[in-house]
Amino acid sequence: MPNNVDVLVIGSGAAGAVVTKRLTDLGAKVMCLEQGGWINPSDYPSERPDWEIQLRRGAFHFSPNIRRRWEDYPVGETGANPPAVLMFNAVGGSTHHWAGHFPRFHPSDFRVNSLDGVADDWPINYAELTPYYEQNDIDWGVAGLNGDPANPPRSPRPTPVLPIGVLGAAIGKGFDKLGWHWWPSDNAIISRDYNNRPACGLHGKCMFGCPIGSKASTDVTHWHKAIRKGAVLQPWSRVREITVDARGKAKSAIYYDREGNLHEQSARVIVVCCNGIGTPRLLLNSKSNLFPEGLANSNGLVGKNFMTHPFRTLEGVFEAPMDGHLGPFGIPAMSQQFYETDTNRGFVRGYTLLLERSFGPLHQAWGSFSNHPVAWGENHHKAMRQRFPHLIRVTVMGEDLPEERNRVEIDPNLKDTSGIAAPRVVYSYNENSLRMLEHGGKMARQALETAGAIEILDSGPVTPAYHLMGTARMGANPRSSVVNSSHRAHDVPNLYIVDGSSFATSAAVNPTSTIGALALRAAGKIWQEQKS
Amino acid sequence: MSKHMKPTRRAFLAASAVTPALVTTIQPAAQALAQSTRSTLQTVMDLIIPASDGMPSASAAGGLTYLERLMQHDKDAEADMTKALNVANALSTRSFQKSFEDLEKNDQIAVLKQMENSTSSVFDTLRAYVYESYYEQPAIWKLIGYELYPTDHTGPHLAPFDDSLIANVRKMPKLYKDV
Repeated sequence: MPNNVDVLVIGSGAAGAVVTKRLTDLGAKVMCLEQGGWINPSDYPSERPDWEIQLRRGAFHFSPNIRRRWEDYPVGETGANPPAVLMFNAVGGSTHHWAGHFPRFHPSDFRVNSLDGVADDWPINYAELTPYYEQNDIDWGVAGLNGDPANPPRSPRPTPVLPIGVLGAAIGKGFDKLGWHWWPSDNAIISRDYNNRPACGLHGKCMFGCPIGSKASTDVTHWHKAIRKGAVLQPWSRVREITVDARGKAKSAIYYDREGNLHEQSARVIVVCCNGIGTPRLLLNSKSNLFPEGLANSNGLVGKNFMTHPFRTLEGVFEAPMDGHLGPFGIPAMSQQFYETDTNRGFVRGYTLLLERSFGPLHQAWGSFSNHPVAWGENHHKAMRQRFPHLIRVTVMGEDLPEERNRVEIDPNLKDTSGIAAPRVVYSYNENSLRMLEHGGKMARQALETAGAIEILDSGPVTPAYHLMGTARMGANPRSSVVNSSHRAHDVPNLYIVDGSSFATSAAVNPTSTIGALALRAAGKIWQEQKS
Repeated sequence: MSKHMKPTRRAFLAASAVTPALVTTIQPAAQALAQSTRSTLQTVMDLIIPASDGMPSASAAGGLTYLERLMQHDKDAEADMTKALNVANALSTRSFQKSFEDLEKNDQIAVLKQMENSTSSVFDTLRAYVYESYYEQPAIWKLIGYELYPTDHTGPHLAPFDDSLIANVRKMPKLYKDV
């Protein structure tokens, strides 16, 4: 057991990998505890003909409650709109299970209170984060295209934009006819060989993991490099609690190995990177005399203000084949026509329209993302021929506003396989989100019809919780936030929280690019502050 | 562009003959189900996906063997499908005083529709398993124009991005707030 660890990182996903690699590059002795193991790429379902079955059951299902691997913990799902929580526990975390979409926040996302009088401003701004976004894009490997008028300029993308397929061109023309913005998306899926990784072969099915490493996951992009530089990564290490010393400084992490043996690892600094559910769970489980309500929770905000993105999916059925099942899952294109606030729409903040691909024929028969199963009986084959491969998916992904009633807390009954108390998520949509999804549904329908859809399938508002944010929020005021602008806990001088939980607001874009940029920035702050 | 063909029974048989994965899938399994249960399951699945439009029925495509094998190895699947078949028989007895298997085809369809309306989650689960048993068959993929594109083979061809598609968007004014 290393006894001279400078920084102990808990969690090896998007944030933990970036923090570890950057701190190691800076010269710190870093150890990372990860409750899962390494994933052998040949185990990915995308390598198997029956890959779509994982959408309903199996060891690679998106939900830990269905997957139930040893390294998973159950998550209770409740509230008026119980979220379907999706995450993965392994070296690389949920970067195994993600589309690879890599958009950035807008400058306005950091100033929502100043601009719109809701939520809180971040204590940092877009300009401050920009160099970290740039470096993060280089580290992960991104395909994209410069010149998007909906976003500030950025450096040339590390690799050229990926093909958007028949689907992307067809829906793009629809947006064009309406005079609406659309743009091919940045994806952390490389279109050319890059940093010893092969270019995407367009095989698809990669939502469950890319077997050749073209889609970024931090086991491929970060961990091998960090380990070569001296970082210690210890898989199958499930942290039960963080202990503190008599002065209230974080002292150690107590964790179980896979055989159930208990260990303790001390460090000068501890960084929690378990994302929007795992992080508050760990902090709330770390009770002591000094922190009877959980670590870093003197103001009771740990676990509060849980945000995910309000979703609504519309699928257009077209006469011509759209081949949405072909090509990298990613996000071929997106529209941010309705991203910034326009109060005439009846809500504040806005949404992105994601122009998306689909899974294969089985998922489309099951009902695809709009949950409209293909008809059974005499008309089944005719209905299936109309559906596959004729769908274009447009997802409305709105900005969620933080509310204390939406929260992660410890479930009184659930435990993981080590006997550690498990979390539950309590979540309800607010009126602003519902009005936003109503507007977004109308606009998505209009775009699909303009592009030529002959039938529209609509999911209505749904709550797939891919994006887990806000539960240890960043802020300048210790009374209304958990960490400061350096990600340091207000209550604990050597405890940092770096992941989606430290988001002050959610924006209306996928969070991983911002998690990575924040983690790069945080690593520098940690090194600077703890050296001085 | 997808090779989306008008399927024929001959095409299906030809596809079966050259598809090793399908041959593996339809190897006879030890019959896990009682004959009456097996027969009811076959009837139900062929009502959900019948032979028509040149496509084979669910059982003819290997779906019955698939589900039987699944029920042998997956307790949840076994419980789900047993429950669904029990519901079908119960509804049949209540409405027609006969077992599901003894009904005329139109009455069987009526029972399934009743099941869909009255116990929708049970029916949804049953339908999902039947669809799985069908669309997991590589021979069916050939008939509907789906190719798997395994990673160790060449992927599909997609045309490079055509920048002229966004010529109008490039002319748009700045859409973000510069704050």
